[in-house]
Amino acid sequence: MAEYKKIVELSLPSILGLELVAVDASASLAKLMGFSDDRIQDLMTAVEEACLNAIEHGNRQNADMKVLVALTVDEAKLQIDVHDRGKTAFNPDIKKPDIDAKVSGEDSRTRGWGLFLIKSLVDEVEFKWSPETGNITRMVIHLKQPKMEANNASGMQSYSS
Amino acid sequence: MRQECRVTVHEDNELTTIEVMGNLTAAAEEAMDTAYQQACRHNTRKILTKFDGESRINSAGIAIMIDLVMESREKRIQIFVSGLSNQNQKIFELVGLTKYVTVVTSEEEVRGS
Repeated sequence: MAEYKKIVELSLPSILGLELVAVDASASLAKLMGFSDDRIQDLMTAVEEACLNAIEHGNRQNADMKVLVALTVDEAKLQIDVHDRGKTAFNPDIKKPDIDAKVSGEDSRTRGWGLFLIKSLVDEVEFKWSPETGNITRMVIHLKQPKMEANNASGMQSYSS
Repeated sequence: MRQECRVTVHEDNELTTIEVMGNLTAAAEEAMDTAYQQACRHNTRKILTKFDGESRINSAGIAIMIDLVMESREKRIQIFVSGLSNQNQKIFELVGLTKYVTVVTSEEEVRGS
């Protein structure tokens, strides 16, 4: 008997607010897989931020452009790919933003927390971009959290571009 | 499609409360700014930002809170926050906002501070 990969796919118009559809779908799937409430909350935040990046920065809120979200269920992990059609790559080398600089006005951008939150809250994250495909943000959470990588507040999870 | 967020301001002699019902996202920016300007009109020294316990706060919401902290520092106003869910408290700690706002569990805690 053929073995099927369990993949749930969503196609969202790039409209702010619709990221919550992906958030709810991720949470439902993670709950079915047996993730704890805390981990589900982490995942929800990460998926929300990845979808916001795709809607705002990737597809520049062009409602005709879709954000594709693929949720792949594995035995011990859940992988979420968020795909936009962006013409420029996200900067995967982003360090933890400096709140002191932001509060003092030294850094005039008060935004820019999304990638940091993603990296802090999932076990693995990978950013890929090409002119043909746009951006793909791949996030993975494991049912059993890998040592040293889980919930690392410094955002030092492995990733590549 | 934008997410609904209702922001109201309550004032008395000692404390001004900004009550946030719903998600703190980019859609709430104008409402939060208006509420903050209203809160500052009465020479207040303490502002409590009160969340409903179920609000989601995303990165744009974090930026709104940083703006509020920046303005308050200039005006020497103390910012308190209550009603954070566990996840929102975790996010506040991750980004470092807990250095600049005091997280409390009740309004009475602010009044007694």
